Amino acid sequence: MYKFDPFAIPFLIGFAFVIGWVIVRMIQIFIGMPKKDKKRVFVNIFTFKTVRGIGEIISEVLIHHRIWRENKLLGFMHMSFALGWFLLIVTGWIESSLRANGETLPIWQHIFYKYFFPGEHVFRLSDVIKQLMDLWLAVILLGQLIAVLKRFFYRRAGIKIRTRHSRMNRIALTALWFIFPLRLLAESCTASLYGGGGFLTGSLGQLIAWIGDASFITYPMWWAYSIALGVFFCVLPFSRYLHIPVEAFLILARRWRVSDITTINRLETMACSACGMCLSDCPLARNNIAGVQPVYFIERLRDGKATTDDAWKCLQCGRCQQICPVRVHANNLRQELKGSTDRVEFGLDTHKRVLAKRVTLFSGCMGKLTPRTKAAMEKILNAAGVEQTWIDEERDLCCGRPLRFNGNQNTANQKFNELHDAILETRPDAIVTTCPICFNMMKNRFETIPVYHHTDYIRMLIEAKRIDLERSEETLTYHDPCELSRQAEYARQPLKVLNRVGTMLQPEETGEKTRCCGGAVAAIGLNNSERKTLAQETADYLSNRNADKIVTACPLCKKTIAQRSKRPVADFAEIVADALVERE
Amino acid sequence: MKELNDAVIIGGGIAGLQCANILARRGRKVVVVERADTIGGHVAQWHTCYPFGLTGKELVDKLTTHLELAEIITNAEVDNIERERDKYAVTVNGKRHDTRTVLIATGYNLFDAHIKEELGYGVYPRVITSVELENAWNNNTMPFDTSDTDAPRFAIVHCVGSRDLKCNVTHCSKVCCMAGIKAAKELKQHYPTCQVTNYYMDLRMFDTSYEELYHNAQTEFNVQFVRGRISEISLGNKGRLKLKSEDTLLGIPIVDRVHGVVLMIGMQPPATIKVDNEDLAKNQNGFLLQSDPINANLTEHPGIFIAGACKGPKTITETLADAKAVALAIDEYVTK
Ligand SMILES: Cc1cc2nc3c(=O)[nH]c(=O)nc-3n(C[C@H](O)[C@H](O)[C@H](O)COP(=O)(O)OP(=O)(O)OC[C@H]3O[C@@H](n4cnc5c(N)ncnc54)[C@H](O)[C@@H]3O)c2cc1C
Ligand code: SF4
Ligand code: SF4
Ligand code: SF4
Repeated sequence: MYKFDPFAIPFLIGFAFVIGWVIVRMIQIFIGMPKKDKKRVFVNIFTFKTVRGIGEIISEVLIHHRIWRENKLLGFMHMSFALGWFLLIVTGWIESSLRANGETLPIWQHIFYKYFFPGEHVFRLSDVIKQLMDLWLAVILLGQLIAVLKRFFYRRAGIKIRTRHSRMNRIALTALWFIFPLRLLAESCTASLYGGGGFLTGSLGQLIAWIGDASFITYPMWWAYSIALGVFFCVLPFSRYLHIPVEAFLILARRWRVSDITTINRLETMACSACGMCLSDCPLARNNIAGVQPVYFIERLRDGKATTDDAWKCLQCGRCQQICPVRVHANNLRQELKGSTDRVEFGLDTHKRVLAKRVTLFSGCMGKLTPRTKAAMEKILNAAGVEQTWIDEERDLCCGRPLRFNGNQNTANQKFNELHDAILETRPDAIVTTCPICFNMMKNRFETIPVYHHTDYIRMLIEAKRIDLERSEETLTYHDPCELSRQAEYARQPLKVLNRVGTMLQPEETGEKTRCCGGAVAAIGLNNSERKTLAQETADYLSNRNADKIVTACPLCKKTIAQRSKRPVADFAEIVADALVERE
Repeated sequence: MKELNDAVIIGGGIAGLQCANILARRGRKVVVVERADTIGGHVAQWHTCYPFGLTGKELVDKLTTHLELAEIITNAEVDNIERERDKYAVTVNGKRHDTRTVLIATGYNLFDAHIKEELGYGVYPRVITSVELENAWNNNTMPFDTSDTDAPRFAIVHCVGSRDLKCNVTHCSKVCCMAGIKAAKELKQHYPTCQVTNYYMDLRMFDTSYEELYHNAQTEFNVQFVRGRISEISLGNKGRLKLKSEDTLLGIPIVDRVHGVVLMIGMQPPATIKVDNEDLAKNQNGFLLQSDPINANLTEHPGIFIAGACKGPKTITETLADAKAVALAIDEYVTK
């Protein structure tokens, strides 16, 4: 039953090319990995981690669950393409294999089954399968219809800012958009001549047969379909569709605990799908300040054309990372460009939590600019009977993080070590800092001693009934600092405490969706007026709730917002200190 | 037919008063609208003004010789001007004033020192602003309690809320260098045993008499000048304040312990005025924009003029000259 037809050649070339390209690239990446990580791959590959990885591949690469969560319509669109196409291939393969009845077929006879086996064939399940095949095709075409309409009515689709795609991406997109309508036409024309086909291709085939004789276009249609496939595959490695194969590898690498930052960075660079979701809530995009959002930045990075703006204008506020369905850590990519790494973990310190009798506190360079916060902390800790040492009261110490943000790794490490040793000398039971930027740098880096952000520590004191608070009539708007809500993933709890002392008036974008205050230390490439614009926007956004006070938990946020807002700004600690009830 | 004024002047500071006084003397029909309950603007609060050494009150009085000929409305704020072909209408307390021209002389707002929290304003009572210092002299009170020492030390911090990228402010407020030297001398006069240090970025002694006042402060009053920005003020022992800075001439970090700090707060743009509900054009620092390179008082709206510190920081001398120029411009416009 072996048959060949030259129209399959474009497809075969493209297919061989893309498979070869991906294999070569993945092998290159594997070779480039440090020994430790290679070992991890071998240790983990035959464990449950791989199973979970495959689960995640299904939910993200095929179903696009994270996109669904942000935007239902876009979720359906991406799923219809990915899952639809996947099912079409799998079902098609089953169909052709059943038809071949035990014989092995070459790949093109599976792919172009309807061409090589035209007409009605009866075998086990053939009726169900042919309808299924048409169903999947219909689903894809519906997705495509949405994709086309989305171009014109993007606001209706919930897209705030449209992505401008590169030439390569547009070529790939055009090829992709041709594939399925051509397939529909090719199969329907064949059905018009030989019969067969399901509710879609079969019916369309009958319609074509009723109109006239389609024999002269049927063969060219199959050629066109194959060419569309071939072109798509050939440009795939140079377009955003590279994410389709690479995202799967990225998911597995993460599951296998590959920790080498260069490896992950390379994979993430290729795994970005240019979906553009990172554009919608970026303050730089909203204010037309710079087009350095991951969707553009990563494209330039792939082409080796990243700009200084890409490195120095981004606030590294992490809003885009948080929304990204592929979990591309654009901040790590930018750090790489800056020549330093800033790999701080997500979440809080993982040591055993203790209330501690003796704490050592660290204001940090920014915290020193907000003495009211320190005074409030002193009041709270005194009330709770906690013995306190402020480590940088006399000495100037630095956690080193701002230096990292600015590409100065060595000095940063040196600074951190100085701080580390100075703190250890005080022999504390716990370490508390009032700055979320320092907090992320310090957490999990003090052997056995837990590190807290002051919002967390104060909450512990309240829960342990070491301090009592009194409610006031005040209305408050809490601004989540990016470093606390997104990097430390500590977002709901401060609100709970504040809810006990005042009435909260939260803006829409709050918690891990918080807006950047505009003060970010990473963005040294922004000029003064750009900074002003950003700070003003956020200050207005928060002031618009008309609360008596704006509350935040980061000295940098506090300073930045206070300069521009119509409402007074206070630190979380100040609010708690004001609400303290004296005990006899 | 409603009566038509020649000019409505928004802002009764020295700029507005100078212009009103001149126009009234020339028989023009003028209305002055002032937000506060008294006229004179900021200058009325200053104890003594350089370079002539007059008190603010004396200075303001010199500008009111013909003002009984003008209508003065206090406690009234204007935020919008309506345009009607070749005239304007300004509504004050529900009453409409039609006018040929409008002068905007809304001056400046003072920088809120709370924003520079690191300088301890609002945290430590011994940190005060230049305005509070003027007020203390006006009320014959001593700004700092020095009962705990025989040799008090004071620091005067320049450029607070000016030339500070950390506050997104790029402009120089122009008057505070001189006002800072004035403050240093006054402290010396009131606390003869004290030592005063001025912390500056650079000293902008641009007028003929200023350089002399600066030398005089050093030679006669022994005021110290340190080139360096204060990075942080905290509570030291014995209730003193601890200032951290760097002497950028010597290149060494320094710590100073003092009994009182005066912050020379800068000038910020005034609140927005709208014409037909649209903001008047502003320059990059938020002050009102002069639309013509030759005529310093024109805006993009013919008949709407600007003068004084609402265009950017100005000394009293400059403000008065500018106000005189605008009086001429308005007079010509109305004659036309
Ligand atoms: C601490 C300090 C010390 C100084 N000392 C000196 C000195 O010694 N020598 C010197 O030459 N200069 C000095 N200056 C500068 C001096 O204060 C200014 O040059 C002067 O005040 C400018 O006058 P003006 O009329 O333009 O503005 P302002 O004095 O600000 O007057 C503006 C007036 O307009 C009113 N107004 C504003 N908006 C509205 C509105 N929408 N509706 C109605 N009314 C409104 C205000 O209430 C105010 O009365 C000093 C400044 C400071 C900050
Ligand atoms: S970085 Fe993430 S959100 Fe942005 S385009 Fe790439 S995949 Fe989409
Ligand atoms: S980190 Fe923030 S500023 Fe930078 S691209 Fe992402 S959203 Fe925009
Ligand atoms: S006048 Fe002097 S003190 Fe004032 S802002 Fe300018 S340089 Fe600073």
